[in-house]
This record gives sequence, structure tokens and C-alpha cells, in this order.
Amino acid sequence: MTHAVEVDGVSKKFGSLAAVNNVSFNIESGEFFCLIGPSGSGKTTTLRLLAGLVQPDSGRILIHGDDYTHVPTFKRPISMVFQTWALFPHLTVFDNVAFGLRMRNAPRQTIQEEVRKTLELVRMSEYANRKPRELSGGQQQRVGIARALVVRPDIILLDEPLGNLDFKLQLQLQEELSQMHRQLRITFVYVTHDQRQAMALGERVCVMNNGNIEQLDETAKVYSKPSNVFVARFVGESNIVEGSVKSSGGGKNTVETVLGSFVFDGGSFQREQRVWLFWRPENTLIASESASGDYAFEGVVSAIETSGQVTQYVVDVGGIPIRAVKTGLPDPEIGEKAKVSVGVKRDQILLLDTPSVSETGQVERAVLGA
Amino acid sequence: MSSEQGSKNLGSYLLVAPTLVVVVVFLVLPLLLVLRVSFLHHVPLGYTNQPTLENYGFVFTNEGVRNTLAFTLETASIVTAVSLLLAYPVAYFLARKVKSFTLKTGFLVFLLIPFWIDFTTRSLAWIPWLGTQGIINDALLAIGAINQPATIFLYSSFAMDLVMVQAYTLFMVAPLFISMSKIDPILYEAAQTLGASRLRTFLHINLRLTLPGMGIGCVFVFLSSLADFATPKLIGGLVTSIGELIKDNVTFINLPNASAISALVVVIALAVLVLTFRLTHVEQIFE
Repeated sequence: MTHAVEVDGVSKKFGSLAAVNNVSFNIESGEFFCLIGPSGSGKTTTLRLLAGLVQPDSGRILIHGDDYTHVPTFKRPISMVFQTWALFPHLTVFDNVAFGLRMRNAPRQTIQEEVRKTLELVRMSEYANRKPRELSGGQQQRVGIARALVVRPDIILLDEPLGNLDFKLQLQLQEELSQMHRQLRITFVYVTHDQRQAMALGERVCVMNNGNIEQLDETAKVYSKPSNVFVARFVGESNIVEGSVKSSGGGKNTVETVLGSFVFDGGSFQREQRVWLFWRPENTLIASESASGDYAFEGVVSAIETSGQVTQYVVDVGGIPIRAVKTGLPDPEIGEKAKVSVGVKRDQILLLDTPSVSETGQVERAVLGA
Repeated sequence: MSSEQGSKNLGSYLLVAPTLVVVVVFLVLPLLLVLRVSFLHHVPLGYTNQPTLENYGFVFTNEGVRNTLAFTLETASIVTAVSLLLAYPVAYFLARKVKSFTLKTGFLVFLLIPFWIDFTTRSLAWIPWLGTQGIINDALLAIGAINQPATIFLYSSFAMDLVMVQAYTLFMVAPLFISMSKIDPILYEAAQTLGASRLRTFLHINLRLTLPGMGIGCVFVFLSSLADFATPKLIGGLVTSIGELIKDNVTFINLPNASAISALVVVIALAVLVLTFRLTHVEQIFE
């Protein structure tokens, strides 16, 4: 079984900047694949490489086993959804959606039928005769999606498609995209800087940074088992405490941090090696006094933020901010400036030994200084 | 409409009032006068107040008028077509290939330099190039391409077309450049991801979205050529333009005939303008 997409050692430089740096990965047929990363991480360039809108300096791009590295965009079995929608301003909604079919010289009857069906799918049937400028942002992107779907591509490339929409609309279209994917089982390659969208949509997530892949894994795994500090920080909220290994041996490691010493099972480290303890805020236990957990620290609440559904507390423990998340509105017993106790269970803590794949000193500082 | 809105509208009309007065007094009224005279009976050295269609009868049946009109329209068409063909690549280059803002401005200033010299002088400047003892003939004689000076280069309809193209091409470049600059380059990418080859992307996106610019440019050049009185006279040699014909009728004090020809030219110009704007979707500029 061949992969839908095979990216094989692809590099792309813009001037002296390595936008994509010797990257290799596969995308499976029918999967919802997310490329995420901060701006300048190379995720959009990677997508544009797949589309053929950018030519790689080296490496190969295979689609269903065939080498497409030097095949022009219009001959690739792909279509694309753009952040700015990129609808043709002079064409009606119908003609925008029909464009791809017309480029494929589809018969009139087919065009009528397919466009009608696809507009129905994105719930834009009644707007068929409108011009793009007469539509709202959300409606325009629905047309953008329909225009990409109607040509039945093997792979649909989405470049921050919800980036220009307000939050409510994002959630709604996110849900619809997810439904379309389940229904159509086309391979979706979805670029976003918003890790929440990736969490919600992606079956697998590829985290990029400085042109490198930091981690490529199932979505849940990227969240629960980040492979380095960068991924831990970029995906979701996190608690990270720097420390160094005091002793390692006999299956036991002792890590010294400003919060005290921690003991971990398994793995082997060098003495004095720099490591990072990581756990998610929802695994932090918080109480007005003596929180449970294998480790507990006293601190002062420095910030409380609530969405109503969940409340996040930031607790200052000896200068280190520890985040805790609880469901519901803020606990009246835990106010700002209140003295509290935070705890964490040993098996919720992950020991990370690398700051990031792009191991330059600046990156490290940038990541840790965040 | 509320009264407040009404007074606001009145305010904005006041903005154009001075221009409106000038247009009415110096353009609309004279045109109406011409129209009136075109329906009056010609007598030697003048006309009477007796209404008649005889001037239009003359205009539509006289072979000289018909040939001159056809020649002028043909000239305007040739000049427009050549200008469009020359201007499109220039506008494309400026709008899409030149990325640096400074360089873009530099090129546009460069294109404007000829306009620092007045129009007639610019036409006359061609004579030392095109004449029988001109630079082109000298060069051709020197390399032995011809044995005696060619007369086709000056005082011919070719010379007239050439000079007009040089004079008016910028009026084509400017609107084309603007309409091409307005196209979001991502549309080209969108077209390609939907299966459009480079050629089809050019046709369906670039060409289509620059239609309004082409329309405005064509109308500028066509009407300028149609109205050009000096170039045919200075460079065209024995050719007769429709302007020349109108002037002749004025000289021989046949104002009704001159007026009828003028009215016909105005109608043709308007028809060309409306038709071109329709065909090229000029209204999309306002969208």
C-alpha cells in the first residue's frame, strides 16, 4: 500500500533562510493530517511544496507512489483552500465552483450536477448566483471549500482556512470540515498555527519549527507525550520546570529543581544533564492547603482566568509559574493573592531531555524564555 | 430620503458645481449649437433658420465623407490595436515582474518623460528620423539595404499610425497597469490548483480581470486618434482625416455640413465608448 504523500528529504531555501530543512514524512490515504507550527516554521512552505507552487531545492515529493517533484501544479491530483479564500471576483459562486471542472473540460451536464451537489454539501445552494463580494467571510470560505472539493482531488490542501474568521464561525466550520472529511474520506492536509484546530481536527499532527519537524504523531500523543520542550509549550498549556540530573542508575533518576528534588523510574541520563519536568495544567492539583499528589508545593495565586466552563489558576511557586486548570467557575476559596498548595502525581510528569530539534542556542533561549 | 440626507447631497453637488458650469457652458451648449446648425438649411456664406435633413443626406451619401470617415476609423482602430499589443506586455512587466517599488516608480517616470514635451513638437521630432534624408534612410542606405531613399517612412499613413501609436500608447499602459496591479496574485495560484495551465490561467484570470483596464485604454487611444487633427496634417502627407474634412467645410463656410459631420463623429465616438465599456465590463472597476 503506497502512501498518499511521501515527502522525501525535501529542502527549500529562500535566500539564506532554510524555510524547509531536509524534511521527510508520509501522509496516509484518507487521513486528516495537520501541519502546525509558529509563523516562519515552514508549514505553509511545506504545503505549497505539495501543491507545486514552490519548487524544492532538493528532495522528492511522491503522490500515491509517483514522483511529482517537478510536475506543475495544474497536473497534480490536488486542490487547495486558501486563508484569504482567493475566490475569483468576477465569477458567481456557481462559476467559481465550476472553474475546476471547466479546466478539466467536464461536460455541461456533469458540471451542473456536481456544482449543485457540492454547493448543497457546503449549504450555499441559495447563493449560487451571487458574486463573492456579496458574501460574508464564512460564506466565502464555504465557496472556497466547495471549489476545492468539487474536482474530487486525491488530496485537499488547506492553508489556514479558518484563520480569517471569527471564533464562533471557526468552531462551526471546523465541525463541518470534520464531517466532510468523515463523509468523503479524501486526504486532508491542513496547515494552521492554531493548535486548538489541530487538536480538534487532526488524526495526526506534524509540529514544525525553523524548517524542521519537531514531532509527528497521533494527535493525542503529541499532546500527552510531547517529544521535547518546544512541542510541550507549543501544543496546549504546559508546566515546565527546568532541572538537572543529580544521580542516575539502577533504574532511578533523581532530578534537582528549584521546587525540590524529583525521583523518576526508567531511562538513563548523564549526571548534571539538563532536563525539563513537564505536566499539563489539568493534572495540577490545587487546594487551599496541602494538595494531594506525590509532590506538593506552597505558592501564591498570581492570576485567575475563567471561560466559565474551565478556570485556570497561575500559582507562583518560588518564582516559577505553575498552571492549574479546574472545571467550572473560580473556586471562591482560591482568590487572587491567596496562599495555596499545588500538587502533581509522579506518573503525570514527563521528563524531557531536549529543548527542540532545531538545537541552536537561540532557539533554546527563545523557547525557554517564553 | 430625509431632509438631512438631501442637504448632504446638495453639499456634494456643490463640490462639482464649478466644473459643471464649465462643462455646460463650454461643452454641452456648443454641442447643442452644433446639433441645431446641422439641421439648418445651408445658403452661400451661411444658413437660414429653415429646418432640413439635407445636410445628413449629404453626409450619408457623399463618397468623400464616407471614405474619409472610414479612413479615420481605420487609422484609429489600427493605432488602438497596435497600442494594446505593445502596452500589454509593458503593463504586465511593470505590474507583475518588477517587485521593487522604487524600480516600479522609476519605470513609470521613464514612460512619462516624452510628455514633458508638447504633443506637436513630439510629432515633429519624428521628421528627422523618417524623412528621405532622415536617420532611418541614411542607415538603410549605408548598409546597402536600399539603393535610394524610401518615401514610405514620412508623409504616409504608415508614418501617421506610427506617430500616433507613440503618442497614445501610454494612455493604454496606465489603465492596464492599474487593473493588473489590482489583481491579487493568489488568484493565479488558485487557478493553477484547480487545474488551469499557465495559458488558461492567463486567459481566465489575467486577461479577464484586465478587461476593464483594456476597455478604458482602448477608448482613450481610439478617441484620441479619432480626434487627432495635427498628426495627419504634419506627418500623414496627403491623407485627409475627418477633422480635416470638418475644417474644410468650415473654411468654405458650410457650417451645416460641418455640423452634420461633427454630430455623426460624436455619435460614433459615443457608440464606441458605450459598446467598449459594455464588452469589457468597465463597471467592475467600481466593485
